[in-house]
Amino acid sequence: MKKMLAVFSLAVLTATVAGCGQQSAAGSASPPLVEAINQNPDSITPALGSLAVDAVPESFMDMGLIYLTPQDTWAPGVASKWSESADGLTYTFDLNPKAVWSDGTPLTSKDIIYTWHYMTNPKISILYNTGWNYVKNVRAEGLHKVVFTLTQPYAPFYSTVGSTTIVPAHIFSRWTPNQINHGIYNKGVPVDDGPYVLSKWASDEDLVLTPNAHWWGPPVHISKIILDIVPNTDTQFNMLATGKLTIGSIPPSDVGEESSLHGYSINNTLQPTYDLIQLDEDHFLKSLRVRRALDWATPKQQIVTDIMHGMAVVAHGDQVPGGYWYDPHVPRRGFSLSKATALLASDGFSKGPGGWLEKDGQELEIPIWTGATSHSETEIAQVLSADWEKIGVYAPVQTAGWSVVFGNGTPQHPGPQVNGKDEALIFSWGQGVFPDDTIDFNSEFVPKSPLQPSPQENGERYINATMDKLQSEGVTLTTRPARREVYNKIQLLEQKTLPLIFLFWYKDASAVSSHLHGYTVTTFGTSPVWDWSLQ
Amino acid sequence: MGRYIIQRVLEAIPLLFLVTVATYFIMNLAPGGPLAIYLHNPHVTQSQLAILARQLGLNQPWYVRYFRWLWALLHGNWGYSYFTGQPVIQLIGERLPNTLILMSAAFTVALALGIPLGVYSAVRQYTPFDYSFSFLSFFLWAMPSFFFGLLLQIIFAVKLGWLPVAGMYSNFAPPSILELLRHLILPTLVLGLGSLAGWSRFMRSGLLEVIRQDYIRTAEAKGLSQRRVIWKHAFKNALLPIVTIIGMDLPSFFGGAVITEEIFSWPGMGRLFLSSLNDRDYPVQMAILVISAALLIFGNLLADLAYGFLDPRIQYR
Amino acid sequence: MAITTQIATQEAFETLQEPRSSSHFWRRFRHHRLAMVGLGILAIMILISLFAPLLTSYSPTAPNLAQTLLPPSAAHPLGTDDLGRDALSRLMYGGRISFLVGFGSTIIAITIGVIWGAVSAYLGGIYDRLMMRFVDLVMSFPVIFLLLIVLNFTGSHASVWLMVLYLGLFGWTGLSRIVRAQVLSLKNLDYVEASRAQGAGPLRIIFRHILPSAMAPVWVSATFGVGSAMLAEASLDFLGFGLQPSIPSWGNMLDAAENYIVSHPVLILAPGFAITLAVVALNFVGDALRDALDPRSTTGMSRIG
Repeated sequence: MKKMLAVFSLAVLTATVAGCGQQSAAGSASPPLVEAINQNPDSITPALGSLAVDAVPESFMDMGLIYLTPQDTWAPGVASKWSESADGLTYTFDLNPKAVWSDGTPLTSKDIIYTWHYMTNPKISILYNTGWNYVKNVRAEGLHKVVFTLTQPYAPFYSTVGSTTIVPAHIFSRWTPNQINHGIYNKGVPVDDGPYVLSKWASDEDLVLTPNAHWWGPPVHISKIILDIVPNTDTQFNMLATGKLTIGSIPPSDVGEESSLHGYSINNTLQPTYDLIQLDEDHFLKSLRVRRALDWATPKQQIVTDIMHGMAVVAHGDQVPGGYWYDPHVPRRGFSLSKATALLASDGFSKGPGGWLEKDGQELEIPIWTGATSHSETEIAQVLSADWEKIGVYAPVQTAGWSVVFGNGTPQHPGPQVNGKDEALIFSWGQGVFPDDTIDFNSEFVPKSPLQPSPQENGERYINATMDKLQSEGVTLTTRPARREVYNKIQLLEQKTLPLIFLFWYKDASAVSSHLHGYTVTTFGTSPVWDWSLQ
Repeated sequence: MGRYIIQRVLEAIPLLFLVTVATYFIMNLAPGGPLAIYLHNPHVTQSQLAILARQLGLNQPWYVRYFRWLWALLHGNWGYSYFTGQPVIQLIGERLPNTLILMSAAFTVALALGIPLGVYSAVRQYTPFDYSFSFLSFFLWAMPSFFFGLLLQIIFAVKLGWLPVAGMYSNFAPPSILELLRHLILPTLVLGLGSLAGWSRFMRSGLLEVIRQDYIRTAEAKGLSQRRVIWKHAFKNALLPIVTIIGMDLPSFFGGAVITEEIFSWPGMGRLFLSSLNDRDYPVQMAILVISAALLIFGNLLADLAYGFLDPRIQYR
Repeated sequence: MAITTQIATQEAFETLQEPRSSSHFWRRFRHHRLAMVGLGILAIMILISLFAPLLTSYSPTAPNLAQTLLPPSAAHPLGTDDLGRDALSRLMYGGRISFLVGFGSTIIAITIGVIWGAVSAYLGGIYDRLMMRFVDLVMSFPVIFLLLIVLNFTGSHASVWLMVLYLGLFGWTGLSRIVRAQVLSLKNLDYVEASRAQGAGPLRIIFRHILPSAMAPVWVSATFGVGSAMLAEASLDFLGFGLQPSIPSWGNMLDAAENYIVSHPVLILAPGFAITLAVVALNFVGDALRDALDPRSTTGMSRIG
């Protein structure tokens, strides 16, 4: 299915920071805000990065047409007013005339049109351009108004196209697609339209952000933001223990140790990111009974309590619990090895000479794959392997680098997603707070060639005509209640047919210094950076 | 001496050439191959892949492709990262100096402390100092470096608060040499102590062996002071084999750097190598292999030259 | 490179001037009290790991989430780990993996290194030059980089045997140089000439007449090599390229316990000190062997990672 974490929440995070107003009010003597990130961003060029971590600097640097507030409402970004036609085919945005780029150039409708050309340019290596494929045309009405025309009604328009990073036309039009692909924008001082600009990026060391002198939104109060790159989770915890970080994350295994941190409060807000087991339906996994049996044999609550140390909530579907789209009435499957055993027996499996279940002389073998660098997921894989083996499924643990887990491999050793065998993959997926899950479960997104598993994200090869129909309704219906009804049906269908096993929703688990004020985190996002101040 | 230097340099060149051949060969065994970058791009179809393969010369014999690659390499065109699309030479250029700083600090500490401590240990053979230092150096050498690093971090940075946890410069003070040195202490210890222990141990036994030999006994019989005998005669002879040892120990600095950089968030080449492995970023892996091999060959060349400098017999070869 | 060979040759020659009997060897070796301590520690650790199933009834691999992270107690002297497994049992079983990796890979390295070095020296001429150039080439790369690349090619985590094989395949080059130097210095000596004159074949000459006298520095180097391989395996586990996480190796235990270093320090200290103790013991032995067999060899302690 999908690669790594939270590619989608990128759009969400990007949208969380920004607004309208004027100059920086920050003094230069005040201390910097230091936030730890675990990886060097691979790119901050719009839509080119493939890592979840790219969203962190971008959230300070970029402002879309509109952004999502922590209260799950849309707020004005570059656009001061917006509206949609009743047929869902036209979206109109009035641009804030005060909006300028960080080099002082006015931000106008030309930039929006350029962004459309950029996002749909096949020569630029854009990984995800979800939503832009429905854009038929973008038209300027003067310098401060744009009208999007779509090929069909597309309900997630605001969360995909509307909150996208805007590309500065006067900068990017100077470059060839090749120069852009090779990261020319990342070097020097990138021109952006958010409250901060990148003043230094020392690879693998840190990114330093300073207030944008031409920022046109509410004034910011923090004079310097340092994103410190700390790859080792234990090192990050030690930095928190010495009080050198303003914001840092705590791995689930360290949750019991938070008492050794002084001057921090621990966030435990639910995140729109879930952990899952992708079941690649190639042979035995095509059987619904086998998938249900595995779901019964998965100790979700125990995993949440003993491995995630309570920093998670059991998942039963792909909509954030408690959110607008979540259906609390979907029946749940608990943990019962006896039910799992009975289901497999009813599907015709019996114990073979090797000690494992088999059918038609073939062993029920489901290797469990996950990324070697993820401590909690390798723990989960071991627990899962033990319980699945108790019901007679041969489930060896296979850990490797993520690129191996999701990659093609070689013709002799194809990757687990493309090898034509039953495999289970454990990873996390940040779909964001928006309900659209088309690319996950729609048969259209089943990989068509073993050479191209990504981003054709239905790696589990789940094919269900009802699901396809419901999902196209989900993105074309325009009223929220009507869509909710569709997504409730989808959640019920997920529970019944198990395109994948949902494990749990992550809690935020970040430590925030008590010196930082105005920083709030909800499931929908973080308060905008101009609300933050350091004591 | 001059001829000797030239001879050694001339020997290093074909080796460097072989290194590029071997690197090219190894990376051609890699799963995915040179087209892997395009497999992520949804716009590239199978037929386009075939065209690209032809453009990249993938249908040509390997030696043709190899020489094209070598030619580009020599002209500073190291290719682009599969993962980020950025020029490889830029990715490495940003990090190599940091790794060299760390490695040379560790090397200097190991040399500047290891040799004198080894000599002192030999001079004071079978004293409490000798015993405790021997024991300590064995112990330090035997600790897995990540374990040692985490322990040092907990003790000196978290519990005692004397040194920074990680990083290269402070986030709260302007960058300065002093800050750099403070941040260097722990990673340098982790990277250097293993070699310090090994070299001092070797220095000790080497010196003891030399002292037992006849000409040293003669010198002592002639009434020269012990200090003079040790430093003037024995030391120089015992240094010769240790130069070889140091040359052979250089690869361990690379292995150590991968781990040390990870734990101490040091922005160096070791971490770039690790992430290039995880991303299957072959152009980056290739470049790092070539560069580290070139550095090792250069280091061994220096060791050979130091050897020639220390050993008067070399001239006559 | 060239110099190493030359020096080793010269030393091997000097060693020969002063042949040492085996009783002389034992006298020098036993003189090292530390070496005897080292041998004792190794014997105890190996015995414990071999008889682990008799010493503990807990499984070293099966998770038990009802009992995670228990503090040390009578039932679990070192407590339980993040998946509820008895830490002491894992530690005892872990010795099997570490010693297997250490000794197994060294045996492979000795086999390849001795054959390569001996053949190279015995054939001489162009063969010798080519074979030694190959050694120079392999030694031009940091071993850990080659190991990581090859392990990454494999795709998923290595099995124990694959780890043994890889560490062996990348660990023989130094040994081959030592053997070559020894053989070179020996092959023209009188008794070798004599057996050649009697019509002994080259293989017989190498293995019967030359190698036995040439092996002293090999044993020294190999002893250090065992410890070095054990440390390398632990480092690879830590970096995420080592053994499958459920395999109870000391490196995997260290890696899994990393985040519990403050709340449950015993989980990381126990495997950390187990591996350190084993390697220290090996090096005591190696150091004594060097003093007894080959005092002036350029066989140093060199770590891979």
